[in-house]
Amino acid sequence: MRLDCHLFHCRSNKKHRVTTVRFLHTADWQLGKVFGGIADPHNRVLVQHERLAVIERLGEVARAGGAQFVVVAGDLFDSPSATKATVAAACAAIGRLGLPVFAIPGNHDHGGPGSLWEQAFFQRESTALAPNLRVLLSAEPINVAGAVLLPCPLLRRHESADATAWLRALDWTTLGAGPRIVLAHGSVQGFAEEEGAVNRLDLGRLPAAEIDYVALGDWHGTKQIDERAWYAGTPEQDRFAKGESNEPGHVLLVTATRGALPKVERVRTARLRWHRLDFQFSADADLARLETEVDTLLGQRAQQDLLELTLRGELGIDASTRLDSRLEAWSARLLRLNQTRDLRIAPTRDEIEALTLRVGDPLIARVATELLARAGSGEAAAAPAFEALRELHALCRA
Amino acid sequence: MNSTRSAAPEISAMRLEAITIRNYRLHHALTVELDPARTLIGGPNESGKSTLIEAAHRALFLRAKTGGEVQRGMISRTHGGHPEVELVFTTRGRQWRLLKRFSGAGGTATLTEIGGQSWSGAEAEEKLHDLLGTEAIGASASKLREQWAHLWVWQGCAGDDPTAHANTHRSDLLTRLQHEGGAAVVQSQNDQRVAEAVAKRFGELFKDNGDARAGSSLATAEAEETRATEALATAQQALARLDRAAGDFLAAEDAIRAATEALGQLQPQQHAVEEQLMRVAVLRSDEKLQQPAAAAATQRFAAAGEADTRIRRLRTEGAEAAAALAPLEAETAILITTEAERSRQAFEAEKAVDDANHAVSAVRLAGDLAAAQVQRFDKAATLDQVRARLSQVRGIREELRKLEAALAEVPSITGPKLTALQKLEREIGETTAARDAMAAGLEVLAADQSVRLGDRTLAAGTNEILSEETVLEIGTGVRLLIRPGGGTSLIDARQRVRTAEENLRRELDRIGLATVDEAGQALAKRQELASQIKAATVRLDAFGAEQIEEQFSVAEQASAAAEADVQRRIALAPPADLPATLDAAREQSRVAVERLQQAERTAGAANAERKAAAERLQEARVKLAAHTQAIQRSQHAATDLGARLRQLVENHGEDDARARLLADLTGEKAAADAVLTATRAALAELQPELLERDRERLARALSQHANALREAEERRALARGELQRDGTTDPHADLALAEERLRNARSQSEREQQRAEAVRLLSELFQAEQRALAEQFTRPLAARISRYLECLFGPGARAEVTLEAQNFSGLHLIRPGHADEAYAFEYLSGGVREQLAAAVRLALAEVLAETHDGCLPVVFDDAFAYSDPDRVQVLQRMLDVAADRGLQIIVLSCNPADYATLGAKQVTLRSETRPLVAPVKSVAPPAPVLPAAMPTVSSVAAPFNPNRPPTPAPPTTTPKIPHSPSPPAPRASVSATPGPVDGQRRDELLFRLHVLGGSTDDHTLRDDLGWSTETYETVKAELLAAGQLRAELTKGGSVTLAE
Repeated sequence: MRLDCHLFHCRSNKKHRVTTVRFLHTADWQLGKVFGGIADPHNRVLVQHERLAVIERLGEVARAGGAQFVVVAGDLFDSPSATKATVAAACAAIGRLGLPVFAIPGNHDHGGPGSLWEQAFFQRESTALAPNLRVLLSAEPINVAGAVLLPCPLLRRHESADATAWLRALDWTTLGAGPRIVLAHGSVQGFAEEEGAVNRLDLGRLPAAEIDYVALGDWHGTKQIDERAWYAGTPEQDRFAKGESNEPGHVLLVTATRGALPKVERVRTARLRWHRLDFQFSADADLARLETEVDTLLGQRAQQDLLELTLRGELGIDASTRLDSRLEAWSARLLRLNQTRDLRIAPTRDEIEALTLRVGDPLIARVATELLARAGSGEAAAAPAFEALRELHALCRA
Repeated sequence: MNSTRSAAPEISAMRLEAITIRNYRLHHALTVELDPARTLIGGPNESGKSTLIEAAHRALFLRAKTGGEVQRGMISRTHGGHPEVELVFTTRGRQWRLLKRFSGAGGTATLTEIGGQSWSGAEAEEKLHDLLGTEAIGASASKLREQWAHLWVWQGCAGDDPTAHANTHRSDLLTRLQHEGGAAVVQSQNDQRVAEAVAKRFGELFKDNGDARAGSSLATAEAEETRATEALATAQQALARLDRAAGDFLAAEDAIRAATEALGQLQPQQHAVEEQLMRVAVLRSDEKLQQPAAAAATQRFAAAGEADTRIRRLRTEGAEAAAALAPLEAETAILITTEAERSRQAFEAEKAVDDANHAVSAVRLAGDLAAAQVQRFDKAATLDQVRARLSQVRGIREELRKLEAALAEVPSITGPKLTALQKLEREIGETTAARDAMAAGLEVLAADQSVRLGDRTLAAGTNEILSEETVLEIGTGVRLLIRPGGGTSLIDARQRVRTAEENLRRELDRIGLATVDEAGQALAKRQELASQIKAATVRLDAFGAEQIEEQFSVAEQASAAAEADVQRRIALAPPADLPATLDAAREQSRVAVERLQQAERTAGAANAERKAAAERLQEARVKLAAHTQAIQRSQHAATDLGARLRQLVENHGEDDARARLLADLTGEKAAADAVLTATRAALAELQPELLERDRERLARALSQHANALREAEERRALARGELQRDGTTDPHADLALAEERLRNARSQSEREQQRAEAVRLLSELFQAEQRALAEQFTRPLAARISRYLECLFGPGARAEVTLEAQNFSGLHLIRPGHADEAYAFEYLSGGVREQLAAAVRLALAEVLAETHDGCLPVVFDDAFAYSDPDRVQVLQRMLDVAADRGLQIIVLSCNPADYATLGAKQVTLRSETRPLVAPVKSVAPPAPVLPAAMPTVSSVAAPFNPNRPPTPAPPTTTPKIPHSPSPPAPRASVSATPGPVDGQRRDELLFRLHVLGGSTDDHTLRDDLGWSTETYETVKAELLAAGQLRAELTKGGSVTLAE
């Protein structure tokens, strides 16, 4: 990578006419995201901090890859009303990158009235800490660093018009000689249909020959759309990913040349791991299997993983108690344990007998029998009956 | 629950056989024997029924050594000795005799198994309670009464909820009931522990009303959910404010854009309008100059035209005036002639008036003379009349003068004076009569001789009255002295006669009359004259004598004046003839008046004619003058017209010259008008009014859009201000956090609710199962109660009792005909309550009796006070059934007749009048006042009040109480060896000694027995001799039972 970079510089210098540039394409930093789902405040701060820390790592990639500048395709901030603390931290991190950073507002940090970008404190902090940052709020071509940037900023959270529409009417002959890089944020037609009818980008209507790279943001996984268009994805994962193909946690090192297809290199930048595990219990013995699976996922790490655990099936009362204690232990190692339970705590035969066949304790036996009857009814009464059985079981043990 | 399995004490059928009490409150000594099944103890209030049954209860349950209030309350106020109770009862198949003497710390207890062992003191108490399966109770009266409270229905407690008693005997009852319920399940300790743990968990989570308890995990979770919901709303509001401001900003921008656009379109329009308006101003200036030129030309043309016209018109007018003057002058001559004629007529009318006036004057003079003549005759006649009357008046005056003279001649006598005279005359008569009555009367009837009386001779027929001694001589030789009677009175009488006569004479002399008759005549004469004078005076007045002279003088003057008037008028106008009489004069006057009227009418007509003639003349003159003036005016006008015509022609030229000028002026005028019209057409083309309006309209629109622009800019500035943030918070992040917080709170709350529901479910199930278990126990009891209730309320009546947390409660009654509704005990009427309570007690007794060989005594002390008589009848079925089931029923009633159908053995206690002085040993009662009798209710209401003063009334007796002055009471069934009196006394002594501990001093024992020293010593000696007693030689002596 270092060699490429060297060659790139030589070539451009020699021709005195820069038609190729190298830059980092990133998006969806979502700085200032609160992670309200993480109940533990300490863990929450850790996860929040990691979003800033990844900017440092981006710098390393840029320096290593010989990038001339960085483009952020929207959602630099998680909120259009980020606090000045978030802004200050972000600007400091951007400032430390040491190379030009061009950003467009996305749907999260859109450039509408009252937007973050026009706030005095943002302007103050960015001037002081990040003079290398330039936020592109207007849909007009700019010639920078040997390239022609074509920003398609979002000026409201939900834009019903296509932000790239202005490019359709552009007089391409007036542009500079550098490669033409479109910056846009939103969903691409034919992709992520479920996103709804707003913030749609119709790339098919753009003159492909006139454009050399489309840097997209909004989709948090890294994804190539066509020969020229890529979603960089978020450099540090911020949610449990949907689907197998979703690969967040990367940045793209792009080499773009006017009139040629871009070269795109994907570099992993994420540190935190967001796991999803769907587990089915069919017997109490499955608990051991779960333990193995989770332990494998976590390895020897602590405070670096987040786990979304979906538990299904049936479990005996004792086993469920054991499960609870295991979950508690995992929870300590995880930044977040998100449980979804479709798990029925059903007493085992032994447990049933221990409750119902108590010759000496007729009252307990009768109550337990009644609870079992209700639990087996399959109606709304079943859930509290199961819970009550657990409770009774615990009381009998005490 | 192990206790339920503990072995029941081996207690056999318990029956009371006899109760004996001594020195117990109002009872001195009393024994009552009881039927094994049914006993009815009757007796009026205050007869001691309750006391009897209380005593039996205390013998069973109160330690003999009990002191204090309880013990004091038993002491008799009227009998000596300590209270004693003796019971004979059977249990465990044996007969027992129990004697307790309640004397505080010195109290004694003896229990004897008849025909067997005997216990005393603490041993006896212990044995007794072993037999009864109870514990001895100390001094507390309330604790005491709890003993066998289920069997002992105390007076006044019949309506208490009997489940409380059931709880007292819960252990025994449950044992029995479990036994009856077959293999009834009993909860274990483990069950209990878990149930309690569940209840505790439930109590931690929920309040009694089912709401979450404050501080519980459930309440905390719910509270957090509420707070999170509120926080979310707050965050949403903050963000909504921001969104609104952004919306406002965009809207303001749109408005600014629209306004700017509109302003851009309006401004060119405004310029165009302004240009056109400038053209209008130029044209108007032109018009202003052209208009006067045209006007001047027109005016000149008009002036020339007018002069021409005036000249032509004057010519015409002059000709017309000349033509009009001729007929006017002809008319003038006619008017002058008319005026002359009318002037002549006026003169003639004036003359006629003068003639008429002269005629009137002459006629008036003649008339006046005639009137004067009438006046003259008139006045003369009046004078003659007055004169005649004057003459008459003078005549009357002469007559009057004569009458007054005549009156003056008549003696002056008046009516009263005459009356006085007549009185004086009567006095003379009366005095004379009085004198004559005393005088002697002498009548000479016939005399042939001279009869001389004094110096007078009396002829025959002479009648003489002698009032003084007189000598009567008859003949010569006879001289008689006649002496009238009366003595000096006669002399007085004579004197009075003389006085009277002198008085009359003096009066008559004063008047100047001789006799009274003359006086009468003189008075009559005076009265006549006076009458005539009065008549004359009246006549004079009628003639007006006073004025007549003046009238006469006036009449004379008037007549003279009238005459003078006539003469003056004659001289003025001498008449043709003068009338001779008044009538002639009057006729002349009348004619003169008529003539005057005629002449005056003539004069009036002449005057009217003169006035008309004058008016006509005036009219003619006026007409003439007016006409003359008119002619003059016409003549002047004609002259004037001519002058003006000449002047005009001089000024404007002759006709030809004028015609030329007019033609020139016409051309000039047409040219000026054409220029002006062209200018005006150009102005109209521009529509200046519309242009003005356009200018206003555009100005208005511009102003409006400028305003809109300004306002939008202000709104934008405002919105921008709101959108500006200091960056301390992030509303979007706050919202995201709040949403997440609410989500967490909700899931936490759901988990807690799930757990809480589980606890609630467990709690409900445990309670339900506990109830079900309890029902297994209560069912047999309820069934027993129901059997008794059916006796009372008919088939279908039943009771419900619940056993909850090891407690019997919830006693309910269900009766047929009451819609099967269950009535809680406390809501039943007093009567039904005591009946239900009785049924429950009987059922309890029945259950418990099973550990007593099926028999326990049940005492009802006036227990059905609220029940009506019919129900009391039915009650007896229930009591009878209970007795059949083995219970010993003892009923105490003040109305034993009510229980006649029970078929019970009846014992009657009676009230007795008791002397105030106690028969045996006087114990001064502490109460200072002893009421003659206590009210019945007080004994019912407070039968055990130890402070109650003892009733001084009736000691109670029964048929069994001997009338011997000292106890013991005879015992019908207990006495083992009935024998003579001494035998009984020996037994008594031995028994008492046994009670007192088997050894005591003589004094104490004797005192205890209440015997006399003699009796005591006698019986003691017998026993000593029999070896049943040992004497100890201590101070005062003592005895001990032989071994």
